[in-house]
Amino acid sequence: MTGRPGGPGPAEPPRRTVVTSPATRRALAARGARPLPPERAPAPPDVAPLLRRQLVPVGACALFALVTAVLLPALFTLVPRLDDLVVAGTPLAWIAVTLGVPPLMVCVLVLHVSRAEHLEHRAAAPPPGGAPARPPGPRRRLVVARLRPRTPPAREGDAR
Amino acid sequence: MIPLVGGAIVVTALLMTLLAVAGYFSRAGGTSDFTAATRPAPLLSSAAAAGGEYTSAATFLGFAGLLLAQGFQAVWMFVALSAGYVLLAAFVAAPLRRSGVYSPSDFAEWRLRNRRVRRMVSACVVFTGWVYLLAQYAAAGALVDRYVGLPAWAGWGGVAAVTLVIVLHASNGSDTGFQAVFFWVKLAAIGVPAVVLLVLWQVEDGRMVEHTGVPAFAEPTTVHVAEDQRLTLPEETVLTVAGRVNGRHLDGTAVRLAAGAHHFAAGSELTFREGAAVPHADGARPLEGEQWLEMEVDAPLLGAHSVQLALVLGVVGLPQFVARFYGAASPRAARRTVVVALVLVMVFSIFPLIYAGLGRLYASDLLATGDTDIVVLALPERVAPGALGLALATMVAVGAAAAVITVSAGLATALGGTISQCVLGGGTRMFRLGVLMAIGVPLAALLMLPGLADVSLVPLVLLAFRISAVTVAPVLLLGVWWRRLTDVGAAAGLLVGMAGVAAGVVVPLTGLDPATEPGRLLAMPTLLLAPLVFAVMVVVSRLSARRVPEDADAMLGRMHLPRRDL
Repeated sequence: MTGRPGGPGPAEPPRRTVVTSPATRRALAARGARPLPPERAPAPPDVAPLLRRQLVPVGACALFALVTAVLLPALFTLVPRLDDLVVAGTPLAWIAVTLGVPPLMVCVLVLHVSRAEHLEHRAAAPPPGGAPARPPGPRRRLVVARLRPRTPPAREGDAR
Repeated sequence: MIPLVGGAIVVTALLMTLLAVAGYFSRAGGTSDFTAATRPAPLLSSAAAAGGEYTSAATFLGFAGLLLAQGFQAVWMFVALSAGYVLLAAFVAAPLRRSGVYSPSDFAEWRLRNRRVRRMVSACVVFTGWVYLLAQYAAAGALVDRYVGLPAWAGWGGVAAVTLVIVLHASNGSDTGFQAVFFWVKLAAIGVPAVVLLVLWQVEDGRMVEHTGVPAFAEPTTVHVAEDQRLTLPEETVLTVAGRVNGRHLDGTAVRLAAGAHHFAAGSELTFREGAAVPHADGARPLEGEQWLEMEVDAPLLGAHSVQLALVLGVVGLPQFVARFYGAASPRAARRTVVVALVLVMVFSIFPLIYAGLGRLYASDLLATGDTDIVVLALPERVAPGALGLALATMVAVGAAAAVITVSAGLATALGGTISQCVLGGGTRMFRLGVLMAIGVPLAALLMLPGLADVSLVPLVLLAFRISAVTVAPVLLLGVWWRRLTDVGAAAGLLVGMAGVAAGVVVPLTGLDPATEPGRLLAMPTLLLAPLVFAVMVVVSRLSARRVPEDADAMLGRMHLPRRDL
């Protein structure tokens, strides 16, 4: 017979522990929490300046997408003479669509991604005078290491 | 006996089912599974999975067929789809990943604080998915009918059953991994035969598409008319007809028919001489070589640009594309996933062009029956008759079967989740019921209206893109970028979008000619409907400004500002 060691009596079922991630714990804690009164609630972040600054790169991307997808076919339709242009035996229109537009699209997208991320990180930086903003990229380990308790110096005899 | 190509389709479907079931029964469910689940998918896998959602039956089979029928001008559709990915990365990917919601429906409820708007978005997502699934079933039916020798309904039922087994048994596995692996399978299945066919074409004669003249039969050919059909003869043609033509019964006698459209009754047998011009079915316009090669858009600009806009915006709102970003490790990774996916999609898009070009030279007789969707499968045996052609065709068939099944599985998973969360209350059992509804409804529609399967693949998929472009995409774009969007404004826009799409479907059925003024107004093209939906959302939101959620600023901050814990 097997039972729990440590005492007589009926065996109790093993205790079950709910294991959750930190994010789930925060979400579960927030579920039962009452909303903070307005005077204590943190001020919402001001994203308007960021949205305004992002209008240029995002608008450029949207314009590029619409030009290539809608206006370029219209151009070849309204100016049929473009279909007659031939470069190295291949119609210019084919070269534009197969070799021109796709790499250009990828370049525009890569440029947009880097610009958008730069603007977002600038906007996320605390105001001047506050704590310095964490640079983009992985969290630095240095801070974690500093918080760890220092190991006491080894005493003589510990080496055994 | 099932031919080899048909056998490849059946074996691929069975193998995928077997893998899903084996994966289900060998699952450990231990700590290592949870550890693996917390690991983000590598960037290339995420991007390949996103590309896998793109490579459906329509892109694998349908686009080459469309290019063969309509000429090189259809390439603009690829450009529009790529532009859609640009918008997706620029406007939606990173903010949606930061918002932490899992679907367009979740986003609508979270952003607008209204469960009714969530239900409306869910309805649009589900209808979009059903139409997309219809195209996959139709492709499966056509493949089974032609290559396995079974009726089309066996293909519809077969793909529904395989999808159901895969989604229910593999739902605890890695969806990203599944889609990523099969993207590479599909890329190899369409790419390797394309390269081999190009080499064979160059070795044989390397002839080019002639600028003058329409496609002609290379040898005496008999065309069987399966159902009442209107065929357009490009030029005056002498042919032998056994059946009924233009209401006149002929019993295997030679007849000279003038250029233009002629009506042939079901069951007629038409025999064309060598060198005779290929008739064009399904209203396709005969194109001379030069016209076929032109980039000039043939259709009226309003209609053509509506298709372009529907594709651009449709990518932004389609659930299977949007759902890819929740698995990304971070918003940075989400954006990079779209960039790499765009590159992969562009590489994939080269191959339909090759098949269409070679199809114009070797398989233009498919225009006579309207079976242009199978040009990818038919071409290898035309270019290389014998064992090599058969092997290449088998390879393509494996890719086509994988395209149908993987995209159906991705859609069924997305729709099952949406239906269960919105209608059935969530939970595993309800998810399974949702998947059953997601798969069953289009199947029932096809069984009740078998004529739906006769619609070409691309128009069906275009309808799905159109629904997405005028319903879900505006909600996502305005919800992410405009603080003042309200639930009432979004609901009004969604209603206008849905009504516009419904009119576009119903007007042709009522017999009202969409080319006439009332028909044009009712069946509003996307180029007018999409801006109207955006305008309605903006104006109604302005009029109901007090319904802007109190925490709208906080929500926008969450979507647009990088969080320190990421």
